[in-house]
Amino acid sequence: MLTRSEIFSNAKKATRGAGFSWGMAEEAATATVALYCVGQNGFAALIPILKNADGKPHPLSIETTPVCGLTLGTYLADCAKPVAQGDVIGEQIMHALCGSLPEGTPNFPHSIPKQIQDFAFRTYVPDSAESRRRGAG
Amino acid sequence: MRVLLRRIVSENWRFDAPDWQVDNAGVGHAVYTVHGPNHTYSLVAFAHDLPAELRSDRVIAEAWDATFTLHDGIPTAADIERLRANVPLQEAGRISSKELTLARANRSVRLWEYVVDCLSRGEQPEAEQLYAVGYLMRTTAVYGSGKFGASDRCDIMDRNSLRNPFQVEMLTVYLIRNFVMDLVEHMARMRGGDTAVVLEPELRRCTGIGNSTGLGMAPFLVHHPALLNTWVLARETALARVRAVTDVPDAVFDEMQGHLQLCLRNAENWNSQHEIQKPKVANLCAGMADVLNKFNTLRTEAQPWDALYRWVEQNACEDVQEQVVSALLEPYPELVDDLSDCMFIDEAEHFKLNASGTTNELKAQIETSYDWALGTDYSAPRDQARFWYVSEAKLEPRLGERAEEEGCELEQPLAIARDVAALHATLNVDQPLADFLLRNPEHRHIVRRVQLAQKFPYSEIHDNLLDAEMLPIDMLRCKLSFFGATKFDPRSDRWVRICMFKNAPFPHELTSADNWSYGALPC
Repeated sequence: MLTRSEIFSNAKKATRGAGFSWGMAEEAATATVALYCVGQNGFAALIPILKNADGKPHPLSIETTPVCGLTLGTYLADCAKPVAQGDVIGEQIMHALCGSLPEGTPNFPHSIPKQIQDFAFRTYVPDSAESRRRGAG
Repeated sequence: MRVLLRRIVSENWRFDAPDWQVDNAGVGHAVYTVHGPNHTYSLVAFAHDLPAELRSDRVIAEAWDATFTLHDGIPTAADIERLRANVPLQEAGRISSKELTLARANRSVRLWEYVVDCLSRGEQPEAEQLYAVGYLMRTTAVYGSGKFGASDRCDIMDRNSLRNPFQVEMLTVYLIRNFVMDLVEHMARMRGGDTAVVLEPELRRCTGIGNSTGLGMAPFLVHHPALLNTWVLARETALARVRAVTDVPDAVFDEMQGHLQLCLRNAENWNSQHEIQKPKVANLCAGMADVLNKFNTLRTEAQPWDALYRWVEQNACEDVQEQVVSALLEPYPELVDDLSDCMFIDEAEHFKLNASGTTNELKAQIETSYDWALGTDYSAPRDQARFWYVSEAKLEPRLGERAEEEGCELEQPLAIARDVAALHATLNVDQPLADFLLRNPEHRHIVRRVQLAQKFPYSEIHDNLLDAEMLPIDMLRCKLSFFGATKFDPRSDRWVRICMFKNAPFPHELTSADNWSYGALPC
């Protein structure tokens, strides 16, 4: 079973890898963990958000539909507004960000979905001869 | 380290004799169980027969002389077998929420062989040889907090004994030290039979556990601003309390002088061959000698420790200043020890950004709390010479040279000073912060930090972590100092060795006296 810190770390890296900023990646990771803590599938909610954002210029608009649940949820939470109704990608992430999740029993996943791994992988820098020479410790 | 041992003493923790299952060749496992008032913990140690060519203390090594986990409770036979299949693999294995840490260690080859040889022949090793190295094994990573399947920190934070961060890691290393000393004596007995002797208590006690720490630890201080604040705040508060002391009895003066002398001796015995460290150690020795010369003039001062602090601030280098601050706390456990209870925080409670304000308010906050970051031209090559990244091959933090290496577009969010300045430069039109963040999400991570800094004045390292002259070992050293390390041996600008629990009492020697850090025992 994955730990909270592993879920957080992978969700954060994957979100960054999909093109979101580091600050948004922190929000996404917190929301993903929150979903698992109430028994929902956090990665499954996050993946469509990442696929939708992939390759698009940031910031994403909240005016056009379907709207990104991470972007909209973060904005609504910032404004202390309730969740919006409508065509939202990754709706559960929005609910997690707005603090409107139903109660549930924690249920953590056993592995990291490949799509999350692939997005996270984009944040890594390949080794170079120069980096090896300098030594990492 | 001392917080842990003080707790073990005050709560009267009980240590079981180890369950020793190590064979004649030094291969097998051992379990060291310790009982606290509410919880029991067991170090499960695996001893391996490691071919010499695989021995390396790089964090990214793949084989070790010994591997460890701290199990939450007493492991069953099934647990031991599960752990035997995983712990020796380290990062490639998997532990469970029943484990708290994962660690490994390698022998200091020459010293190990020398000590085994001496003991097996019925002789004691020379103290100087032990003292010069300080340890028989050194650990590299000691993983906790949800790494590789281990229990998440939030699941153990409600236990009083583990509320402070890194207490499970410290307990792991303390128990590893017991195991290593038992193993070296076991190997001597296997070699020498009835002729073999155990290590004399004084020699045993002056042997610690080495730790080799690389860049991986450096980002921690940046990633945990609220926690860093609690650590520094505790130290600053302790210093303020001691500086305010008046009417110091002669006995306390004498005790303080003794602590300063121990610090000087510690510096004199600080062996480093590294060009960065050698002049620092020389300055530290000279500076501490000056402090001791100054010392007797303090007896007429109304607030002698405040006077000493002010004198050091004016007349000594930073290493001496920091050393004197540490020494000042030593005679006053009743004034300062309680502050260790404040060195933790639930960071999740402070995660949520408050976007109800305006960007003008944010700008004013930056100008108040980050003035140190705003004066630098981050477009100059030397001011952004480096970039922090995570390596694809090892998934470890690395530091790259922006001008020479590829990958800076993937840099980690550790460029706090530069990013704060960039945010500040953007804040030209007053608007609701929520609207600004919607349009400028690239600043979100820094806005969160600025808000944290309003609550936590010691949350930031006031320096440019991209600067060409920045030394990652200074960040490592800061964290290791809070662990209780007193000597640092840099192996490069990004890799440092320390010795942990050197001179610390073993379980059967524990008393309420805990001032062992600087070698209170003659050794």
